[in-house]
Amino acid sequence: MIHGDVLDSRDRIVITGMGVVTVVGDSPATFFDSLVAGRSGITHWKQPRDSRHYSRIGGDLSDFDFAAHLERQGARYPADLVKRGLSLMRAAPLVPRLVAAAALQAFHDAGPPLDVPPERLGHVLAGHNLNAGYIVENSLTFYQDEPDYIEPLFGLHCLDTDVLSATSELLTLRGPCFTVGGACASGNVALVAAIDILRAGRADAMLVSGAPIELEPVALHGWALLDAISIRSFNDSPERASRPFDALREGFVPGEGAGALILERLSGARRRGARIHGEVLGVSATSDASRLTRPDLRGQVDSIRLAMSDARISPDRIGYVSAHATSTPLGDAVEVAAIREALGSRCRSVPVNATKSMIGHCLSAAATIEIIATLLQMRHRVVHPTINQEQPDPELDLDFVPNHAREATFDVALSNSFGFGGINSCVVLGRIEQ
Amino acid sequence: MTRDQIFAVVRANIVNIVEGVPPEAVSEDVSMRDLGADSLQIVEVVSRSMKELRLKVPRTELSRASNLRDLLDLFEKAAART
Repeated sequence: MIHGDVLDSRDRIVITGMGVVTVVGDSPATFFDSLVAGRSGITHWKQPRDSRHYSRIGGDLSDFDFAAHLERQGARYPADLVKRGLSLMRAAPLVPRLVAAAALQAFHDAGPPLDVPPERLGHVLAGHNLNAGYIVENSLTFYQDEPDYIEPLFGLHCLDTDVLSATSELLTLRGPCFTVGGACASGNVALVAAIDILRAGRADAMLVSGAPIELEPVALHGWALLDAISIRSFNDSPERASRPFDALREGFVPGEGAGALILERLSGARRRGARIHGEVLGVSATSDASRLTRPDLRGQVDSIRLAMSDARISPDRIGYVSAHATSTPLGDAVEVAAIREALGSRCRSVPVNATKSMIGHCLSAAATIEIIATLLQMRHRVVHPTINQEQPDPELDLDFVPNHAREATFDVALSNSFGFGGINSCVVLGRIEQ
Repeated sequence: MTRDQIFAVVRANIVNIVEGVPPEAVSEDVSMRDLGADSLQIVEVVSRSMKELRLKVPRTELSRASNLRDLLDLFEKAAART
Protein backbone atom coordinates (compact mmCIF):
# COMPACT_ATOMS: atom_id res chain seq x y z
CA MET A 1 0.00 0.00 0.00
CA ILE A 2 1.31 3.45 -0.88
CA HIS A 3 1.52 5.87 2.03
CA GLY A 4 -0.53 9.06 1.95
CA ASP A 5 2.40 11.41 2.37
CA VAL A 6 4.03 9.98 -0.76
CA LEU A 7 0.79 10.33 -2.66
CA ASP A 8 0.35 13.93 -1.57
CA SER A 9 3.70 14.96 -2.94
CA ARG A 10 3.76 12.98 -6.15
CA ASP A 11 3.36 14.58 -9.56
CA ARG A 12 0.01 14.39 -11.30
CA ILE A 13 0.37 12.79 -14.73
CA VAL A 14 -1.80 13.71 -17.68
CA ILE A 15 -2.27 12.56 -21.25
CA THR A 16 -1.85 15.34 -23.81
CA GLY A 17 -1.44 13.42 -27.06
CA MET A 18 -3.22 10.49 -28.68
CA GLY A 19 -2.80 8.58 -31.94
CA VAL A 20 -4.33 5.38 -33.20
CA VAL A 21 -4.41 3.06 -36.19
CA THR A 22 -7.05 0.32 -36.19
CA VAL A 23 -9.18 -1.59 -38.65
CA VAL A 24 -12.03 0.89 -38.09
CA GLY A 25 -10.11 4.16 -38.22
CA ASP A 26 -6.60 5.58 -38.46
CA SER A 27 -7.06 8.69 -36.32
CA PRO A 28 -8.79 9.29 -32.99
CA ALA A 29 -11.69 10.99 -34.77
CA THR A 30 -12.35 8.26 -37.35
CA PHE A 31 -11.77 5.53 -34.75
CA PHE A 32 -14.26 7.11 -32.37
CA ASP A 33 -16.90 7.60 -35.09
CA SER A 34 -16.68 3.90 -35.96
CA LEU A 35 -16.91 2.81 -32.34
CA VAL A 36 -20.00 4.90 -31.73
CA ALA A 37 -21.55 3.58 -34.95
CA GLY A 38 -20.88 0.02 -33.82
CA ARG A 39 -18.85 -0.76 -36.93
CA SER A 40 -16.90 -4.01 -36.97
CA GLY A 41 -13.54 -4.16 -38.75
CA ILE A 42 -13.23 -7.95 -38.54
CA THR A 43 -12.90 -9.64 -41.94
CA HIS A 44 -11.46 -12.72 -43.56
CA TRP A 45 -7.66 -12.58 -43.62
CA LYS A 46 -6.64 -10.54 -46.66
CA GLN A 47 -3.26 -12.12 -47.33
CA PRO A 48 -2.94 -15.63 -48.69
CA ARG A 49 -2.12 -17.76 -45.68
CA ASP A 50 -1.43 -21.43 -45.36
CA SER A 51 -4.78 -23.13 -45.85
CA ARG A 52 -4.02 -25.77 -43.21
CA HIS A 53 -4.26 -23.50 -40.20
CA TYR A 54 -7.60 -23.01 -38.53
CA SER A 55 -7.85 -19.24 -38.23
CA ARG A 56 -9.84 -17.59 -41.02
CA ILE A 57 -10.80 -14.21 -39.58
CA GLY A 58 -9.41 -11.24 -37.73
CA GLY A 59 -8.57 -7.57 -37.72
CA ASP A 60 -6.22 -7.43 -40.69
CA LEU A 61 -4.05 -4.37 -41.34
CA SER A 62 -1.50 -6.19 -43.51
CA ASP A 63 -2.20 -3.78 -46.38
CA PHE A 64 -1.59 -0.67 -44.24
CA ASP A 65 0.04 1.92 -46.49
CA PHE A 66 2.17 4.33 -44.43
CA ALA A 67 2.61 6.81 -47.29
CA ALA A 68 -1.12 6.91 -48.00
CA HIS A 69 -1.78 7.35 -44.28
CA LEU A 70 0.54 10.36 -44.22
CA GLU A 71 -1.28 11.77 -47.24
CA ARG A 72 -4.53 11.56 -45.27
CA GLN A 73 -3.30 12.56 -41.82
CA GLY A 74 0.05 14.18 -42.36
CA ALA A 75 -0.86 17.38 -44.14
CA ARG A 76 -0.47 19.01 -40.75
CA TYR A 77 2.99 17.55 -40.08
CA PRO A 78 6.21 19.46 -40.88
CA ALA A 79 7.54 18.51 -44.33
CA ASP A 80 10.91 17.34 -42.99
CA LEU A 81 9.16 14.97 -40.55
CA VAL A 82 7.09 13.45 -43.36
CA LYS A 83 10.21 13.02 -45.48
CA ARG A 84 12.10 11.37 -42.61
CA GLY A 85 9.13 9.11 -41.89
CA LEU A 86 8.84 7.93 -45.47
CA SER A 87 12.56 7.24 -45.61
CA LEU A 88 12.64 5.32 -42.31
CA MET A 89 9.59 3.24 -43.14
CA ARG A 90 10.41 2.48 -46.79
CA ALA A 91 11.48 -1.13 -46.19
CA ALA A 92 10.10 -1.54 -42.65
CA PRO A 93 7.83 -4.43 -41.64
CA LEU A 94 4.20 -3.77 -40.72
CA VAL A 95 4.51 -3.10 -36.99
CA PRO A 96 7.04 -0.24 -37.11
CA ARG A 97 4.86 1.43 -39.73
CA LEU A 98 1.76 1.15 -37.54
CA VAL A 99 3.59 2.42 -34.45
CA ALA A 100 5.20 5.32 -36.32
CA ALA A 101 1.83 6.37 -37.72
CA ALA A 102 0.20 6.36 -34.28
CA ALA A 103 3.17 8.07 -32.64
CA LEU A 104 3.24 10.86 -35.24
CA GLN A 105 -0.43 11.54 -34.55
CA ALA A 106 0.12 11.62 -30.79
CA PHE A 107 3.16 13.85 -31.07
CA HIS A 108 1.35 16.30 -33.29
CA ASP A 109 -1.72 16.16 -31.07
CA ALA A 110 0.38 17.06 -28.00
CA GLY A 111 1.90 20.08 -29.62
CA PRO A 112 3.00 22.26 -30.96
CA PRO A 113 4.81 23.30 -29.01
CA LEU A 114 5.76 20.26 -27.01
CA ASP A 115 8.70 22.37 -25.85
CA VAL A 116 10.67 19.58 -24.22
CA PRO A 117 14.31 19.10 -25.21
CA PRO A 118 14.98 15.75 -26.91
CA GLU A 119 17.07 14.57 -23.94
CA ARG A 120 13.99 14.91 -21.70
CA LEU A 121 11.69 13.01 -24.07
CA GLY A 122 11.42 9.25 -23.63
CA HIS A 123 9.58 6.34 -25.15
CA VAL A 124 8.23 3.14 -23.66
CA LEU A 125 7.03 0.73 -26.30
CA ALA A 126 4.48 -1.86 -25.20
CA GLY A 127 4.84 -5.28 -26.76
CA HIS A 128 7.04 -8.18 -27.75
CA ASN A 129 7.31 -10.80 -30.54
CA LEU A 130 6.29 -7.88 -32.71
CA ASN A 131 7.75 -8.82 -36.08
CA ALA A 132 6.77 -12.48 -35.90
CA GLY A 133 5.29 -12.52 -39.40
CA TYR A 134 8.42 -10.97 -40.86
CA ILE A 135 10.58 -13.50 -39.03
CA VAL A 136 8.50 -16.43 -40.26
CA GLU A 137 8.66 -15.20 -43.88
CA ASN A 138 12.41 -14.77 -43.74
CA SER A 139 12.84 -18.16 -42.10
CA LEU A 140 11.05 -19.67 -45.08
CA THR A 141 13.36 -17.81 -47.48
CA PHE A 142 16.37 -19.05 -45.51
CA TYR A 143 15.34 -22.69 -45.44
CA GLN A 144 13.49 -23.03 -48.73
CA ASP A 145 15.42 -20.67 -51.03
CA GLU A 146 18.79 -19.18 -50.17
CA PRO A 147 20.10 -17.89 -46.81
CA ASP A 148 21.67 -14.83 -48.46
CA TYR A 149 18.29 -13.82 -49.87
CA ILE A 150 16.67 -13.02 -46.53
CA GLU A 151 15.77 -9.34 -46.14
CA PRO A 152 19.01 -7.33 -46.08
CA LEU A 153 18.16 -5.63 -42.80
CA PHE A 154 16.70 -8.71 -41.12
CA GLY A 155 19.37 -8.54 -38.41
CA LEU A 156 17.94 -5.19 -37.38
CA HIS A 157 14.24 -5.55 -38.16
CA CYS A 158 13.87 -8.90 -36.36
CA LEU A 159 14.37 -7.15 -33.03
CA ASP A 160 11.46 -5.63 -31.12
CA THR A 161 13.73 -2.73 -30.26
CA ASP A 162 13.88 -1.78 -33.95
CA VAL A 163 10.20 -0.82 -33.71
CA LEU A 164 11.02 1.37 -30.73
CA SER A 165 14.13 2.89 -32.25
CA ALA A 166 12.61 3.69 -35.63
CA THR A 167 10.00 5.88 -33.95
CA SER A 168 12.51 7.31 -31.48
CA GLU A 169 14.66 8.35 -34.46
CA LEU A 170 11.68 9.72 -36.34
CA LEU A 171 10.66 11.93 -33.42
CA THR A 172 14.17 12.59 -32.07
CA LEU A 173 13.58 11.11 -28.62
CA ARG A 174 16.87 10.99 -26.68
CA GLY A 175 15.62 10.28 -23.15
CA PRO A 176 14.84 6.85 -21.64
CA CYS A 177 13.65 4.58 -24.48
CA PHE A 178 12.98 0.86 -24.04
CA THR A 179 10.40 -1.86 -24.58
CA VAL A 180 8.12 -3.39 -21.95
CA GLY A 181 6.42 -6.74 -22.35
CA GLY A 182 3.31 -7.90 -20.55
CA ALA A 183 1.45 -10.04 -23.09
CA CYS A 184 -2.05 -8.65 -23.57
CA ALA A 185 -1.54 -6.26 -20.65
CA SER A 186 1.57 -4.73 -22.24
CA GLY A 187 -0.07 -1.38 -22.95
CA ASN A 188 -1.03 -0.72 -19.35
CA VAL A 189 2.24 -2.07 -17.97
CA ALA A 190 4.11 0.31 -20.31
CA LEU A 191 2.00 3.15 -18.98
CA VAL A 192 3.05 2.21 -15.44
CA ALA A 193 6.71 2.30 -16.49
CA ALA A 194 6.34 5.68 -18.20
CA ILE A 195 4.63 7.21 -15.16
CA ASP A 196 7.41 5.95 -12.91
CA ILE A 197 9.98 7.58 -15.20
CA LEU A 198 8.14 10.91 -15.11
CA ARG A 199 7.71 10.81 -11.34
CA ALA A 200 11.35 9.89 -10.86
CA GLY A 201 12.25 12.99 -12.85
CA ARG A 202 14.11 11.08 -15.56
CA ALA A 203 12.10 12.72 -18.35
CA ASP A 204 9.62 15.55 -18.87
CA ALA A 205 7.39 13.86 -21.44
CA MET A 206 6.98 10.23 -22.42
CA LEU A 207 5.64 8.58 -25.53
CA VAL A 208 3.89 5.30 -24.73
CA SER A 209 3.31 3.28 -27.86
CA GLY A 210 1.18 0.16 -27.97
CA ALA A 211 2.55 -2.15 -30.66
CA PRO A 212 0.66 -5.16 -31.99
CA ILE A 213 2.07 -8.53 -32.92
CA GLU A 214 2.16 -8.95 -36.71
CA LEU A 215 -0.19 -11.88 -37.10
CA GLU A 216 1.11 -14.92 -38.94
CA PRO A 217 -0.08 -18.48 -39.44
CA VAL A 218 2.12 -20.22 -36.88
CA ALA A 219 1.08 -18.09 -33.91
CA LEU A 220 -2.56 -18.12 -35.05
CA HIS A 221 -2.42 -21.89 -35.23
CA GLY A 222 -0.83 -22.05 -31.80
CA TRP A 223 -3.67 -20.03 -30.30
CA ALA A 224 -6.19 -22.20 -32.14
CA LEU A 225 -4.64 -25.31 -30.59
CA LEU A 226 -4.99 -23.70 -27.17
CA ASP A 227 -8.68 -23.15 -28.00
CA ALA A 228 -8.14 -19.45 -27.37
CA ILE A 229 -9.40 -17.91 -30.64
CA SER A 230 -12.65 -18.01 -32.61
CA ILE A 231 -12.31 -20.63 -35.37
CA ARG A 232 -15.64 -22.45 -35.54
CA SER A 233 -18.90 -20.56 -35.79
CA PHE A 234 -18.31 -17.21 -37.48
CA ASN A 235 -16.07 -17.85 -40.47
CA ASP A 236 -18.95 -16.96 -42.77
CA SER A 237 -19.83 -13.81 -40.84
CA PRO A 238 -16.53 -12.46 -39.45
CA GLU A 239 -18.07 -9.25 -38.16
CA ARG A 240 -20.10 -11.33 -35.67
CA ALA A 241 -17.13 -13.25 -34.24
CA SER A 242 -15.92 -10.86 -31.54
CA ARG A 243 -18.83 -10.87 -29.08
CA PRO A 244 -17.60 -10.34 -25.52
CA PHE A 245 -20.15 -11.31 -22.84
CA ASP A 246 -22.59 -12.82 -25.36
CA ALA A 247 -23.60 -16.43 -24.75
CA LEU A 248 -22.30 -17.50 -28.19
CA ARG A 249 -18.76 -16.17 -27.68
CA GLU A 250 -16.13 -18.79 -28.44
CA GLY A 251 -12.71 -17.16 -28.28
CA PHE A 252 -10.82 -13.99 -28.99
CA VAL A 253 -10.50 -12.59 -32.50
CA PRO A 254 -6.89 -11.54 -33.19
CA GLY A 255 -6.40 -8.08 -34.59
CA GLU A 256 -3.70 -5.66 -35.67
CA GLY A 257 -3.63 -2.03 -34.55
CA ALA A 258 -1.47 0.47 -32.71
CA GLY A 259 -2.00 3.27 -30.24
CA ALA A 260 0.20 6.02 -28.88
CA LEU A 261 -0.04 8.40 -25.94
CA ILE A 262 1.98 11.40 -24.79
CA LEU A 263 2.27 11.64 -21.02
CA GLU A 264 3.60 14.55 -19.02
CA ARG A 265 3.28 16.17 -15.62
CA LEU A 266 0.17 18.28 -15.11
CA SER A 267 2.30 21.27 -14.13
CA GLY A 268 4.19 21.18 -17.43
CA ALA A 269 1.07 20.66 -19.49
CA ARG A 270 -0.67 23.59 -17.78
CA ARG A 271 2.36 25.80 -18.20
CA ARG A 272 2.39 25.34 -21.95
CA GLY A 273 -1.37 25.55 -22.28
CA ALA A 274 -1.74 22.03 -23.65
CA ARG A 275 -5.09 20.43 -24.33
CA ILE A 276 -5.38 17.68 -21.71
CA HIS A 277 -7.28 14.53 -22.63
CA GLY A 278 -7.34 13.16 -19.11
CA GLU A 279 -5.39 12.39 -15.98
CA VAL A 280 -3.93 9.04 -15.04
CA LEU A 281 -5.26 8.88 -11.50
CA GLY A 282 -3.99 5.46 -10.60
CA VAL A 283 -2.39 2.32 -11.98
CA SER A 284 -1.65 -1.22 -10.92
CA ALA A 285 0.56 -4.05 -12.11
CA THR A 286 0.30 -7.47 -10.50
CA SER A 287 1.01 -11.11 -11.26
CA ASP A 288 -0.95 -14.26 -10.52
CA ALA A 289 2.36 -16.09 -10.12
CA SER A 290 1.13 -18.48 -12.79
CA ARG A 291 2.21 -19.16 -16.37
CA LEU A 292 -1.24 -20.34 -17.39
CA THR A 293 -3.61 -18.72 -19.85
CA ARG A 294 -6.45 -19.21 -17.37
CA PRO A 295 -7.52 -15.94 -15.75
CA ASP A 296 -7.44 -15.72 -11.96
CA LEU A 297 -10.31 -14.00 -10.16
CA ARG A 298 -8.25 -13.07 -7.11
CA GLY A 299 -5.54 -11.52 -9.27
CA GLN A 300 -8.01 -9.44 -11.27
CA VAL A 301 -9.89 -8.21 -8.19
CA ASP A 302 -6.62 -7.25 -6.52
CA SER A 303 -5.43 -5.43 -9.63
CA ILE A 304 -8.64 -3.38 -9.92
CA ARG A 305 -8.58 -2.56 -6.20
CA LEU A 306 -4.93 -1.60 -6.29
CA ALA A 307 -5.53 0.80 -9.18
CA MET A 308 -8.44 2.42 -7.31
CA SER A 309 -6.32 2.60 -4.17
CA ASP A 310 -3.47 4.19 -6.13
CA ALA A 311 -5.99 6.73 -7.43
CA ARG A 312 -7.30 7.20 -3.88
CA ILE A 313 -10.87 6.68 -4.96
CA SER A 314 -13.64 4.42 -3.75
CA PRO A 315 -15.61 2.24 -6.18
CA ASP A 316 -18.55 4.65 -6.17
CA ARG A 317 -16.43 7.18 -8.08
CA ILE A 318 -16.03 4.86 -11.07
CA GLY A 319 -18.39 5.96 -13.84
CA TYR A 320 -17.37 3.65 -16.66
CA VAL A 321 -15.38 0.45 -17.19
CA SER A 322 -13.45 -0.39 -20.35
CA ALA A 323 -13.35 -4.14 -19.95
CA HIS A 324 -10.50 -6.34 -21.12
CA ALA A 325 -13.28 -8.52 -22.54
CA THR A 326 -11.60 -10.68 -25.15
CA SER A 327 -14.70 -12.75 -26.03
CA THR A 328 -13.41 -15.99 -24.51
CA PRO A 329 -15.97 -18.00 -22.54
CA LEU A 330 -13.92 -18.17 -19.34
CA GLY A 331 -12.09 -14.84 -19.59
CA ASP A 332 -15.21 -12.70 -19.82
CA ALA A 333 -16.93 -14.61 -17.02
CA VAL A 334 -13.99 -14.18 -14.65
CA GLU A 335 -13.65 -10.49 -15.49
CA VAL A 336 -17.34 -9.85 -14.85
CA ALA A 337 -16.99 -11.62 -11.50
CA ALA A 338 -13.91 -9.50 -10.74
CA ILE A 339 -15.72 -6.25 -11.61
CA ARG A 340 -18.66 -7.31 -9.42
CA GLU A 341 -16.44 -8.07 -6.48
CA ALA A 342 -14.13 -5.06 -6.80
CA LEU A 343 -16.86 -2.48 -7.47
CA GLY A 344 -19.50 -4.02 -5.23
CA SER A 345 -22.96 -2.55 -5.65
CA ARG A 346 -21.49 0.16 -7.89
CA CYS A 347 -21.11 -2.41 -10.70
CA ARG A 348 -24.88 -2.26 -11.31
CA SER A 349 -24.84 1.39 -12.29
CA VAL A 350 -21.79 1.72 -14.55
CA PRO A 351 -21.57 0.96 -18.26
CA VAL A 352 -19.03 -1.78 -19.02
CA ASN A 353 -18.19 -2.11 -22.71
CA ALA A 354 -15.77 -3.94 -24.97
CA THR A 355 -13.85 -2.08 -27.67
CA LYS A 356 -12.58 -5.47 -28.85
CA SER A 357 -16.06 -6.34 -30.09
CA MET A 358 -15.31 -4.10 -33.09
CA ILE A 359 -11.55 -4.18 -33.63
CA GLY A 360 -10.67 -7.61 -32.28
CA HIS A 361 -7.93 -8.20 -29.77
CA CYS A 362 -4.85 -6.19 -30.71
CA LEU A 363 -2.83 -8.10 -28.10
CA SER A 364 0.07 -6.01 -26.82
CA ALA A 365 -1.45 -2.84 -28.31
CA ALA A 366 -4.93 -3.47 -26.93
CA ALA A 367 -4.64 -1.63 -23.62
CA THR A 368 -3.20 1.54 -25.20
CA ILE A 369 -5.94 1.61 -27.82
CA GLU A 370 -8.57 1.09 -25.11
CA ILE A 371 -7.22 4.00 -23.05
CA ILE A 372 -7.70 6.16 -26.14
CA ALA A 373 -11.23 4.82 -26.60
CA THR A 374 -11.95 5.55 -22.92
CA LEU A 375 -10.69 9.14 -23.09
CA LEU A 376 -12.66 9.82 -26.28
CA GLN A 377 -15.84 8.51 -24.68
CA MET A 378 -15.18 10.62 -21.59
CA ARG A 379 -14.66 13.76 -23.68
CA HIS A 380 -17.68 13.24 -25.94
CA ARG A 381 -19.95 12.06 -23.12
CA VAL A 382 -21.05 8.98 -24.97
CA VAL A 383 -20.32 5.28 -24.47
CA HIS A 384 -19.85 3.07 -27.50
CA PRO A 385 -21.72 -0.21 -27.80
CA THR A 386 -20.49 -3.71 -27.25
CA ILE A 387 -21.67 -5.16 -30.54
CA ASN A 388 -22.92 -8.66 -31.34
CA GLN A 389 -25.03 -8.90 -28.21
CA GLU A 390 -27.58 -11.35 -29.58
CA GLN A 391 -28.00 -13.95 -26.90
CA PRO A 392 -27.41 -12.71 -23.36
CA ASP A 393 -25.41 -14.95 -21.11
CA PRO A 394 -27.59 -15.35 -18.01
CA GLU A 395 -24.48 -15.51 -15.83
CA LEU A 396 -23.21 -12.14 -17.02
CA ASP A 397 -25.59 -9.39 -16.03
CA LEU A 398 -23.77 -6.06 -16.07
CA ASP A 399 -24.69 -3.16 -18.35
CA PHE A 400 -22.60 -4.00 -21.42
CA VAL A 401 -24.07 -1.18 -23.55
CA PRO A 402 -25.50 -3.76 -25.95
CA ASN A 403 -25.44 -2.92 -29.67
CA HIS A 404 -26.17 0.81 -29.47
CA ALA A 405 -24.16 3.78 -28.23
CA ARG A 406 -25.72 6.13 -25.76
CA GLU A 407 -25.02 9.37 -23.99
CA ALA A 408 -23.23 8.98 -20.69
CA THR A 409 -21.25 11.45 -18.62
CA PHE A 410 -18.52 10.13 -16.39
CA ASP A 411 -15.49 11.73 -14.78
CA VAL A 412 -13.60 8.64 -13.65
CA ALA A 413 -13.02 5.47 -15.67
CA LEU A 414 -11.41 2.10 -15.11
CA SER A 415 -9.59 0.34 -17.96
CA ASN A 416 -8.70 -3.32 -17.39
CA SER A 417 -6.11 -5.45 -19.10
CA PHE A 418 -5.17 -9.00 -18.25
CA GLY A 419 -2.55 -11.02 -20.10
CA PHE A 420 -1.55 -14.64 -20.58
CA GLY A 421 0.76 -15.75 -17.82
CA GLY A 422 -1.21 -14.00 -15.09
CA ILE A 423 -0.16 -10.44 -15.91
CA ASN A 424 -2.73 -7.94 -14.67
CA SER A 425 -2.68 -4.18 -15.04
CA CYS A 426 -5.47 -1.69 -14.52
CA VAL A 427 -5.63 2.05 -15.04
CA VAL A 428 -7.94 4.65 -13.51
CA LEU A 429 -8.40 7.73 -15.69
CA GLY A 430 -10.02 11.03 -14.75
CA ARG A 431 -11.45 14.04 -16.50
CA ILE A 432 -9.57 17.32 -16.24
CA GLU A 433 -11.54 20.46 -16.68
CA GLN A 434 -9.63 22.79 -19.01
CA MET B 1 23.38 -11.75 -68.29
CA THR B 2 25.33 -8.74 -69.56
CA ARG B 3 27.26 -6.24 -67.48
CA ASP B 4 24.81 -3.56 -68.64
CA GLN B 5 21.91 -5.57 -67.26
CA ILE B 6 23.67 -6.02 -63.92
CA PHE B 7 24.53 -2.33 -63.79
CA ALA B 8 20.90 -1.37 -64.49
CA VAL B 9 19.69 -3.43 -61.52
CA VAL B 10 22.34 -2.03 -59.16
CA ARG B 11 21.69 1.52 -60.28
CA ALA B 12 17.93 1.18 -59.84
CA ASN B 13 18.44 -0.11 -56.30
CA ILE B 14 20.82 2.73 -55.43
CA VAL B 15 18.36 5.33 -56.72
CA ASN B 16 15.53 3.67 -54.80
CA ILE B 17 17.37 3.15 -51.52
CA VAL B 18 19.80 6.09 -51.23
CA GLU B 19 17.84 9.29 -51.08
CA GLY B 20 18.49 12.09 -53.52
CA VAL B 21 20.71 10.19 -55.96
CA PRO B 22 19.81 10.88 -59.61
CA PRO B 23 20.37 7.93 -61.99
CA GLU B 24 22.99 9.86 -63.97
CA ALA B 25 25.18 10.20 -60.86
CA VAL B 26 25.67 6.44 -60.70
CA SER B 27 28.71 5.26 -62.62
CA GLU B 28 31.25 2.48 -62.27
CA ASP B 29 33.86 4.94 -61.03
CA VAL B 30 32.03 5.97 -57.88
CA SER B 31 31.46 4.14 -54.62
CA MET B 32 28.17 4.06 -52.79
CA ARG B 33 29.83 6.04 -49.99
CA ASP B 34 30.58 8.76 -52.59
CA LEU B 35 26.86 8.84 -53.37
CA GLY B 36 26.01 9.38 -49.70
CA ALA B 37 24.94 5.85 -48.75
CA ASP B 38 25.26 4.77 -45.12
CA SER B 39 26.39 1.28 -44.11
CA LEU B 40 22.85 -0.13 -43.88
CA GLN B 41 21.93 1.26 -47.30
CA ILE B 42 25.02 -0.36 -48.83
CA VAL B 43 24.03 -3.73 -47.37
CA GLU B 44 20.52 -3.25 -48.69
CA VAL B 45 21.60 -2.30 -52.24
CA VAL B 46 23.99 -5.25 -52.49
CA SER B 47 21.59 -7.82 -51.02
CA ARG B 48 18.57 -6.71 -53.01
CA SER B 49 20.59 -6.65 -56.23
CA MET B 50 21.94 -10.15 -55.62
CA LYS B 51 18.47 -11.49 -54.92
CA GLU B 52 17.00 -9.81 -57.96
CA LEU B 53 19.80 -11.13 -60.19
CA ARG B 54 19.67 -14.55 -58.47
CA LEU B 55 23.41 -14.33 -57.77
CA LYS B 56 25.44 -15.26 -54.76
CA VAL B 57 28.74 -13.67 -53.80
CA PRO B 58 30.26 -14.60 -50.43
CA ARG B 59 30.41 -11.72 -47.95
CA THR B 60 34.15 -12.11 -47.60
CA GLU B 61 34.57 -11.27 -51.30
CA LEU B 62 32.08 -8.42 -51.24
CA SER B 63 34.03 -6.59 -48.57
CA ARG B 64 36.91 -6.16 -51.03
CA ALA B 65 34.86 -4.05 -53.47
CA SER B 66 35.85 -0.40 -53.16
CA ASN B 67 33.68 1.03 -55.92
CA LEU B 68 30.85 -0.03 -58.20
CA ARG B 69 33.27 -1.35 -60.82
CA ASP B 70 34.63 -3.87 -58.30
CA LEU B 71 31.08 -4.82 -57.31
CA LEU B 72 30.00 -5.32 -60.91
CA ASP B 73 33.11 -7.45 -61.54
CA LEU B 74 32.12 -9.71 -58.67
CA PHE B 75 28.51 -9.91 -59.84
CA GLU B 76 29.61 -10.62 -63.42
CA LYS B 77 31.88 -13.47 -62.27
CA ALA B 78 29.11 -14.90 -60.12
CA ALA B 79 26.69 -14.69 -63.06
CA ALA B 80 29.15 -16.59 -65.24
CA ARG B 81 29.31 -19.34 -62.61
CA THR B 82 25.54 -19.88 -62.52
